[in-house]
Amino acid sequence: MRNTNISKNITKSELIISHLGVSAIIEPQTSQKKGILKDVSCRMRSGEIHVLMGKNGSGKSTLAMALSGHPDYVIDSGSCVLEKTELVTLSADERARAGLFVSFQTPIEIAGVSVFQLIKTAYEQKFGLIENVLNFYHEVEREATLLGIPTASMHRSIHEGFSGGEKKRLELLQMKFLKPRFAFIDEIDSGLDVDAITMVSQYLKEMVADSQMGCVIITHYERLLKYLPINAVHLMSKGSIVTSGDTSLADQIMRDGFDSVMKKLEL
Amino acid sequence: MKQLPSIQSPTYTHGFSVPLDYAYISERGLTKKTIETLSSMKAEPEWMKKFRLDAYALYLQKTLPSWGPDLSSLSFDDIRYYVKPTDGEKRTWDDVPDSIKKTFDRLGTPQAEREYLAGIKNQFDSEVVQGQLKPIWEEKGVIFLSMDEALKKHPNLVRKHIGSVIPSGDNVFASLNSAVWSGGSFIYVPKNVEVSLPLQAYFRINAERAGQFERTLIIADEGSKVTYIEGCTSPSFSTSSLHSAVVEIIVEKGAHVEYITIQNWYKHVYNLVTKRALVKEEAVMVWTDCNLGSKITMKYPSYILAGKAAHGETLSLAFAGANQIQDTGSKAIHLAPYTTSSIVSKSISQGGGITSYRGLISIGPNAHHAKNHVSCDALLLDKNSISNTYPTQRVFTGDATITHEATVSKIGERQLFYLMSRGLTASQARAMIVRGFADPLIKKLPMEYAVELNRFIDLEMEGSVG
Repeated sequence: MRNTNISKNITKSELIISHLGVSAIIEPQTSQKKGILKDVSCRMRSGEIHVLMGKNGSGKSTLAMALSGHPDYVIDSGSCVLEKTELVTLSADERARAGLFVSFQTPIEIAGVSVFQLIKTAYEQKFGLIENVLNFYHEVEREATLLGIPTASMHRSIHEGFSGGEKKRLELLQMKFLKPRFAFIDEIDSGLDVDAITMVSQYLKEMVADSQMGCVIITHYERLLKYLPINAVHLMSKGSIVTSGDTSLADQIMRDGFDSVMKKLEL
Repeated sequence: MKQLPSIQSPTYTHGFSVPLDYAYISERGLTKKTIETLSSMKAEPEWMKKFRLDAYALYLQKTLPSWGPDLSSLSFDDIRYYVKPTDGEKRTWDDVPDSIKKTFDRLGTPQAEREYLAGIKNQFDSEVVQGQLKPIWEEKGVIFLSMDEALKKHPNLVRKHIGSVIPSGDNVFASLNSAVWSGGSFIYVPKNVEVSLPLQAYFRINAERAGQFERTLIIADEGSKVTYIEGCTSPSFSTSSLHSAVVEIIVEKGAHVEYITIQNWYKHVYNLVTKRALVKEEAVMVWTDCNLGSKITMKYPSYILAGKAAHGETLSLAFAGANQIQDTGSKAIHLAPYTTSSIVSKSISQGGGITSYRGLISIGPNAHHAKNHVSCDALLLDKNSISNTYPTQRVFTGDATITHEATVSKIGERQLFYLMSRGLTASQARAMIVRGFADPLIKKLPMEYAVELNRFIDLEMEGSVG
């Protein structure tokens, strides 16, 4: 990695999710809500890559969104501790500044706010005023190029008119500069072709190795997985993590399908 | 936000006033005598005194508009119509009295961007107190004077054009301005001269209950080009002030005029302004209009597209917070064939503020192949705020193309969350969304003003959260 700003001496830390219960708000006026996640527990250390798999609607994205503080969800019970900091009681921005990053499956468009402006503001909010903006700009451009994003996109409105694949890369670009301790990366592989997946996973691999960021990858498919060193695989079903294992669990799921694996596990 | 009269608003950074020994302050209210005194103090020619008194007679006959915001709390009898801070306009900054200098220093003008401007005028209450035009433009025959000076040095030019685009009887505020006008800018750009740097005027109300009635006349001769920027601020008095300007612009054949306004009066100023341009063949008039301050603003910059293929453009941004009404818009009067106009109006309302777009598109019988496009975007920051649209279209020819689009959006909870998930605080996120909304206009402003507008949005958003 060419970016030398990142310290190599980051101490090992943990993200511990215990017995998390989450509801979705159905009717904001009446606070009517529906339970989605129950008793979700999982822990990971910095520098690890975990994979969260499961059928559509099993609760993978809900977990990521709820942890990031999405207003459509409420955490009813349990905790999520990032290096001694309880995230559950914090606001979305405090969670981000505590070191959590969630890349969105469908990122939000904001007219008139450029990609660079957002990265710069978010960076300054976390790390303080940038003294040499031009240097910083060149750094952002360099990373964008590594991710296959045209540098001209830096001046375009964030996510406006970008393709699905481009939006995913823009999320990773932001992540790069926010330097989170732990990240949830939601379906980064959708909308990318094989070449792009190779590029993105290489980028992610180097970033994890370099920054010792812990990383949860949410995916339906194994495509991304063969390029990345995976430490653990978790299977989600009906709002809970039903089993965890190593890459052989992912292989099994890919070979036999979710239903068959769950049947074998007598779930 | 709670309103505390006479205490400086935390979000209004221009709200100070300096104590000053005025050369002259008129009694409150307006009489024939006030006008005669004003005219004789200015040593005006007889025709100008008559112009004023005729306008005053019209003013007395007129009533306030029956439409638009309620102006009944505006007490014309409490206003001081002529407040003269100093004797004569100073050419250099050093000659300006210290207290006035201090005011403009605190406002960051005119030092800021001095290099960037071709010329500058600073008006304090009723009079222009300082002004300068770079010699290079003077040599090319450009005239940039206060209207009072212009009346002395170029009486024929003034006499020929004053009231030619906005007659004294146009509306009650035009009548009032014509009767009591003081200060304002006079600009003449000779044929084919392009003034590559902007000319700037800064308007400051300092005295309590003062009325400011500047009169601006711009004549861009054939093939010439000029950009004029005006900024306006005032102290945060709890009593009302009145700012009622008249701006007339004549854009001759093939000329190009851009008029940029950053209006940030304190929230007790009534801002009732008439602005109109006469645009001749293949000429272009651009109004870039930001209305941020004032209690009530009524302003509809207009163009009369009188020559073939004349073009008019308006890009406006209105911001209304608590107890503010921004009633703004634009009028495009198409009189000639192939004339085109485009109006983009953006408005932001918060804390119960009201923004209204009020526009008129008139396509006359001779304006075949005319084209107009209006686009109104409103951003509401909370449930209590209001945005209105009052478009009027009058089309008297068969083959004109007019389109109107309007959007109203609420600040999105998802957008806020997205930015907060990147570590921005709620107020930072709001400010960023609002700035993004205003971006098409901010981009068009000179650097110094863009920075000021961004700072304004940040301050307003800070005040709105928590």
